[in-house]
Amino acid sequence: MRNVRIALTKGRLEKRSVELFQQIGFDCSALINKGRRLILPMDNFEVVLAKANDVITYVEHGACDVGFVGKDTIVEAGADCYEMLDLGFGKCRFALAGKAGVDFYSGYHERIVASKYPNVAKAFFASKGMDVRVIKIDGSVELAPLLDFAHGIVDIVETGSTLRENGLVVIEEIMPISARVIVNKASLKLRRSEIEGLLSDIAVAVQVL
Amino acid sequence: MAGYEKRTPEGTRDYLSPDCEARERIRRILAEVFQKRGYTPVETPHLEFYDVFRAGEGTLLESLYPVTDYNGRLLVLRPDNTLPVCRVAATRLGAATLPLRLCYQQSVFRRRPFYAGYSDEISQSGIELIGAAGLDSDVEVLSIGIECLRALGVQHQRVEIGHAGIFAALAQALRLDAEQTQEIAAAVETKNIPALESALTKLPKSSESRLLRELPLLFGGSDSIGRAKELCRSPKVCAVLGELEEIYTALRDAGFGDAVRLDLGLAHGQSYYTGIMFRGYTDRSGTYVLSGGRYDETMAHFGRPAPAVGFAINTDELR
Repeated sequence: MRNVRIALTKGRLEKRSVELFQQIGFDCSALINKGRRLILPMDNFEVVLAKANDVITYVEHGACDVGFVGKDTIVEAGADCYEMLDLGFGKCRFALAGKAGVDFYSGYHERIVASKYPNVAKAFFASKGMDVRVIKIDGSVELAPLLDFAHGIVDIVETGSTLRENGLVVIEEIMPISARVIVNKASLKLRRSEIEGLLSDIAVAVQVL
Repeated sequence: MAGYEKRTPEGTRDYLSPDCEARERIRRILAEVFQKRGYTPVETPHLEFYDVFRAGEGTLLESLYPVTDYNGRLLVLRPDNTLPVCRVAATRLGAATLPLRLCYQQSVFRRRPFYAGYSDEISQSGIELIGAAGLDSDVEVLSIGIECLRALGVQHQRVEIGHAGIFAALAQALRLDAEQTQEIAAAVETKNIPALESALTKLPKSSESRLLRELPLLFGGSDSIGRAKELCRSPKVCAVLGELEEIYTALRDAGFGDAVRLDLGLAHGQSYYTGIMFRGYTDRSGTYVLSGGRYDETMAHFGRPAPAVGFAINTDELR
């Protein structure tokens, strides 16, 4: 049987994920000097780096057994996997933001909200019983209210500095976000001891980091 | 994009000789197992009135393929095989003596997101044992399920058994409202321990909430039942655990011990299951290949109340 495969989200979460593995005591040299390889050996594991959405796809279908991915992507894309650990890093939050000094909720006019996370935005306004037109934007969402194209945005906010620089403020927090460990359902059942061993190593290392 | 006349819709495909032969082979093997165990085949229409599927609360409207008939009545391509078979058992076979042992080999249709690697047409082979309750019927159906996987030559297989009554008894004892039930069932089902813990902090502490907190991790051998009994002594929960233990022991005694495991954290927030629930995994697929359980309240929906239990195998996952 092949080694257990771990899919890591590239970018923001990558460095912390590697630190976590070093903390556990895994040999991370291939992860640090990647070269051109796409599948990286780490002790008895194989590690791949992928975009957040792809981490979910690979784990859902069992091409990888375990994945590290942000809660933001899990909520937006949905994931038919087990979501077993909160890694406690990659912390930020989903928030509704808009121009400073404008009351987003006043009046009965139609509101337009721009977001890279249309499903999150839809669900948030549905929970408030509000009928809002959500428009998907791929790039810098902050631009939409500045162009008077949207009344607000739903986005991930880490420190809020990008918002402030553009004269925007958080109107309401939607939910906290952090990196999670997801596990393929069949893998947990068929390779339980290997995966539980890995998960408990991770859980211990998370406490130390 | 033009050229639709030359293509099949997203999520569907043509099957040419190697695939056709593989499917044919699987159907033949399974038909033989079903026949040997006394199950007679039924076929139901691809199109059914939407109303047939309203008994399955887990069937989301957005995952259906709806059409209307010439009177404007809502029809759907069947998204599930159990409910049409129940309809047949309650109506066309209404005068037949229970229990009925029925089997089927036909596709279901469910809308899935595009480009996510799923099929919308899922070929299933399964059985329904209608009009039988108790240990023997649960063991009969489960053992046929495992026999099917063995007959197909699956090397590495696991059938995980849970029970809808565990979560239901805990939810009732903790007086969860509909919203909390949904939230907590989802957390249990996805083994999302952080979400489960945050939901449980809002509830008063009790032996039931202690068991609920550990439920997602109680899977494996009979030690998981032992641990559950340590955590919660509520008679209702213990009765369900006892039932599950009996089934597990009976299957082990029947020589299925290496294939069977327990998962007390099978919650299926919205489904028609009322008793045992199970899922089978193999090393050939990243998702479950067999799924089933006991649904004692469904037949009443078609006017002939009767206990029932069954399973379906997603045969395309086994090629």
